[in-house]
Amino acid sequence: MSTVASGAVTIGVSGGRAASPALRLTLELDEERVVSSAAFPGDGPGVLEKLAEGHRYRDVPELFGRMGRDADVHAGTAFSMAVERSAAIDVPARAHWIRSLVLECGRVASHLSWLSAFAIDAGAGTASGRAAEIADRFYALLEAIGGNPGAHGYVVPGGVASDLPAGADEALSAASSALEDELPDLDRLLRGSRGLLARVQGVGVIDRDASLDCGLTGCSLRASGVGFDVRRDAPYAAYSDVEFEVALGTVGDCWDRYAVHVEEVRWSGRLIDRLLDGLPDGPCAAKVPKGLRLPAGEAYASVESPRGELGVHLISVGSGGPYRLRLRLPSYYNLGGIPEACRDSLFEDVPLIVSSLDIDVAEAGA
Amino acid sequence: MKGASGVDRLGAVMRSAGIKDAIVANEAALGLVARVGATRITDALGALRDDDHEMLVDLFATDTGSWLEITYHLRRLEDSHEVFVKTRADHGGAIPSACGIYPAALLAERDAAARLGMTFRGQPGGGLKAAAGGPPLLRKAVVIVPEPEGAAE
Repeated sequence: MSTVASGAVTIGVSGGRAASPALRLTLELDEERVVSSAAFPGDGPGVLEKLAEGHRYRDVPELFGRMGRDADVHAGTAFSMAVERSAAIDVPARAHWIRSLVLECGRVASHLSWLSAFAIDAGAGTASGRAAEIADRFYALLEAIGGNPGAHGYVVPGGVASDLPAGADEALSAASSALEDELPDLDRLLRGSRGLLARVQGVGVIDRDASLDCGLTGCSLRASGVGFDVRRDAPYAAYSDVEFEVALGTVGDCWDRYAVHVEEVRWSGRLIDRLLDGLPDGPCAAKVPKGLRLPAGEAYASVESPRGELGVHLISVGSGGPYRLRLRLPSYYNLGGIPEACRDSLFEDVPLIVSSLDIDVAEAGA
Repeated sequence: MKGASGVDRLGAVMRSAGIKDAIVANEAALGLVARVGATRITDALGALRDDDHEMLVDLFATDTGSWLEITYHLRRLEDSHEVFVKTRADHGGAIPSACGIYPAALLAERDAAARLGMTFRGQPGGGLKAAAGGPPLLRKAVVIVPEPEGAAE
């Protein structure tokens, strides 16, 4: 936590993975209680959108590395889907399944990385270290498959850049089995942490209507009881071919946001097993011309990234690159939850509340 | 509400809001699109909100060269039905804010205003602030020129 403004009532803070000079939060306080707040998110998606206009379609995914390792492969997938929709490219079944595998691997890594930061803010240091350790294992898997910790550039228009490397299926299976054993222990460790429940239950509440008014998606939306998940409600990759449940909260407090994250990790582990069981043979990419030109028109595609709906709206005028590329970034929209969740809360709870919203400044500022 | 029936129903929603000149189409890779004049944009959005499109997925603006096109992406959660509403503004022009209907529009409107050089009239104060300063980056006339190598040293 850092003070960026002097004076009795205006204080700038940051918390969890949102901790960055790029995100400033100004609070108006009445003694220890927050009356109102304002978030300053940095640059937003505009710079990346502008850069994309000067690139060919095949080179655009290279830009997504700027969003950080947790959004990268998800943005690449949404972009590839928008291109495929626009150009009517038929993606092979194996590519769809590999995409889902990689995306779920990324979800486990991101959620546990979030959990590690959240546990620190909640005063549960032991659980934090354990969560980070498991997250690193899944980042390593992503690196083994995609060539870097965020699988940057692995999902491309037409499919995936390369098939799963030898031994990847066994490694994924072993990791999901270990996760099945480790997650209950981690959950118990957190629930048993002295004072955790008192710190998170009933704190930072965003109810159902407010969650929609704030523009929330992802775990934060579902924690408020809104059962929307792009994987289930607008299926892509292989999600319509595997069964899974969407975790929901009821109150929309920090505790529900924690519980939804943990439940999603559990289901991602199961999804990895089911995807491995059903992985079809065949090619992992369709042939896409190097000098791809899209017909004039628009396409939108989105994925359920670890932080919520990550969408790409592509406008083409028939050239070899986007005329306009709009990024709908969940961390950017989820910033809208900060003023609502912080209102009437105690000042000391603000870092935990901001942390619970799982906002990544690298993504929000793109 | 897909295909022709979707177009018919969206057209009916627009007419129920008294917007008789809305252009409604089902565009190949995008889906249902309604184009309305800027003076009727809040009527169109209000009618769609009443039609249970309770989620503003996104709002952004595009410089077409001749004007700015503002796109509102809405979703009805009960059946994941999606609609895109589009309107126009002049460069440097103003259109009504959608925040009274979709409060989630606040940050996206501020971002579009800063990046495209336009105004959303009647926005509430406080809450979230978009990037400010510099030219409207997403105007086509604003060109990014890379620094020569070594210039930053």
